[in-house]
This record gives sequence, C-alpha cells and structure tokens, in this order.
Amino acid sequence: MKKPVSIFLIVTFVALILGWSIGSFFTQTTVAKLIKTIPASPIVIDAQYDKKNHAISYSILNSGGTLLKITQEAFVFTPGQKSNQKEYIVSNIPVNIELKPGIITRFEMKLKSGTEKLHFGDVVLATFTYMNPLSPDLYTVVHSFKLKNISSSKKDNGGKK
Amino acid sequence: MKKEKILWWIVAIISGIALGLALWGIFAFSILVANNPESSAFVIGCFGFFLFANRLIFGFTGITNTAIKVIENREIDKNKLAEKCHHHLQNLNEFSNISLLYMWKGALEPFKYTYFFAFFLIFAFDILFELQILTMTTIAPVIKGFMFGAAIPTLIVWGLELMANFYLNQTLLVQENE
Repeated sequence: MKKPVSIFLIVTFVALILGWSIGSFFTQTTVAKLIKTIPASPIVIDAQYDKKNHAISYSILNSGGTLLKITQEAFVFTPGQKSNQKEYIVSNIPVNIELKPGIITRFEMKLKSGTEKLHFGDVVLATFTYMNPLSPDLYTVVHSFKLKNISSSKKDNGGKK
Repeated sequence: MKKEKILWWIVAIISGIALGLALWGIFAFSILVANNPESSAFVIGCFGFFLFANRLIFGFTGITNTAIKVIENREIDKNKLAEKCHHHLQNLNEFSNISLLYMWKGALEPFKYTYFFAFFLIFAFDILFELQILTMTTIAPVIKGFMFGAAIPTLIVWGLELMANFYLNQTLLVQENE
C-alpha cells in the first residue's frame, strides 16, 4: 500500500509556516505593547528663527511610546558681535505642550518683546522642562540655538531652509 | 435528625466555597481576557472552529480508516457505512463498499464548503485590516488572533481531506488490479 508522503510533506510545510506566523504575530503584539510603555526623552530636531513674530520655532521629536508634557520653558539670550542688545534671561514660562508619541511636534517660543531682532552670531540657549507619566519628576532638555549666516540669508529669500 | 443537620451544613459550606471559587474564577478570567485580547481571540477562534470542524475531522478520518480497511480486505459493517451517507438506501448489497465511501464523502461536501466559507470570511476581514483598507487599531489585532486560531483546525481539516482523497483513490487502484 502506498503511503501519502507528499501530502504529509505539504501539510507539514504549511503547518510550519502557520506556526511561524502565529509565533511572530504574538511576539509582535507583545513587543508593541512593551514599546508603548517605554518613555523616551524629547529630541530637538530643528530650530528656526521667525523674524516676523520675533520667535524661534522648534521641532521636537518624541522618540518613545508615551505622551510627554513640556511644562516650562526658559531661555538665555547671549548677543553676538553684531548685536547691540544686552544679554538677558527669561525663565520659568509656564506652557502646556503635549508631545505625542512617535511624532515630531512643532511649536514657537516667543522671545522677549521689545528687544532687538536677532543678528548673526546671537545665541539663544533654551531649556525645556518636561514630565513623563511614570514619575512626578521634572526633566530638562537644553538646546542652544545660534543664528547662522547661511540659514538666515536663505530665510530672507524664501523662509525655507 | 442531628446527622441530617450536620450533612446540610457540610453541603452548604461546600457549595459556598464552590460559589466563591466560581466568582473568583470569573473575575480572574475577565482580567485575563481584558489584558490579552488577542490571545483570548486566538483561543476562542481555535475552539470555536474546532467545534464546527468536528464533523469534518471525524468524517474524513472515518473515510480514511474505512478505505484502508477496504484496501487490506478486512470486513466492513455495511449498515454502519450506509448510515453515514445521509441517504435512504434500499438493496444495500447492490452497492459496493467503495461507492458507499464516495457517498459518505459526498455527504460531507456541504459541511466542508460552509466551513471553508466561514474561514474565508474571517480571512478576508483580516486582509482588509492588513492592507489598511479598514483601519481600527484596537480591533485589527483581535481579528488577526481570531483568524490565526481558526487557521489551525482549518489546516487539520484540509490535511485530513487530502488524506481521505488519497486513500479513496488507492481503493480504486486496488480494485483495478484485482
């Protein structure tokens, strides 16, 4: 009597593929759940000076899986050689910016009103205070922004980098 | 009188414990389901489709076993075989065992197609999520788990069907040789 070897082989092959996909599906869902609970620190990806509003717009990436909240921002202005403006500090501006998980959030930080517009070589050192949902602690991100010759000259032409 | 009272107390205590355990079990089970929706969907899909596949699984294994008996020239109870065919058969001796086997297979055909149609519906629904034609982030993994659970009995049914067909063909070959 002939034995159905080919049928056994085909069914075994399909069963292996099915088991593989079931295993990878469950691994994937558990890993996705794990990643969703890991908080990460925000990363400042881009900062540009907006001359009209006298503000700096920041693009911040939240690389983790949880929602982060920026509760405070502060900045230190250091003039370059071309500026006549004196150095000044503005600290503890309360804000409520939510950084959604996995995406880049854009927002503007207004510089002190009544001050001179930024010139080449001026430095703005911004400090963002943020919280993550796992603890009541406060964390900070410090980003220094220097107005460069190239980017600002391009900005005058089109406003795009 | 006293003995009876003691017995009643024992019964009351045992049933109370059983009720408490049952409530606790339901509570623990609901937490398990809430925490692992995909796994629960997988289990439900697997068991539910096994329930529907039951008739097919036993049918195809029965056909395979009887076909092997025919090939090996062992004795077969014709009345039992005729029962499986879902037909009222007169003059049972005029039918050969092989024709009765093919009638048995024919009787399983509607169940087989209904079963595969149900699996196809689940599979198509899952594909809609997979290709992101529908997007529901909460339901998509649950449907996928359900589909994977249903795929296991479907694979078994498919393999058994192939095997039953193989042995049915073997019976014909044996008859030709004779």
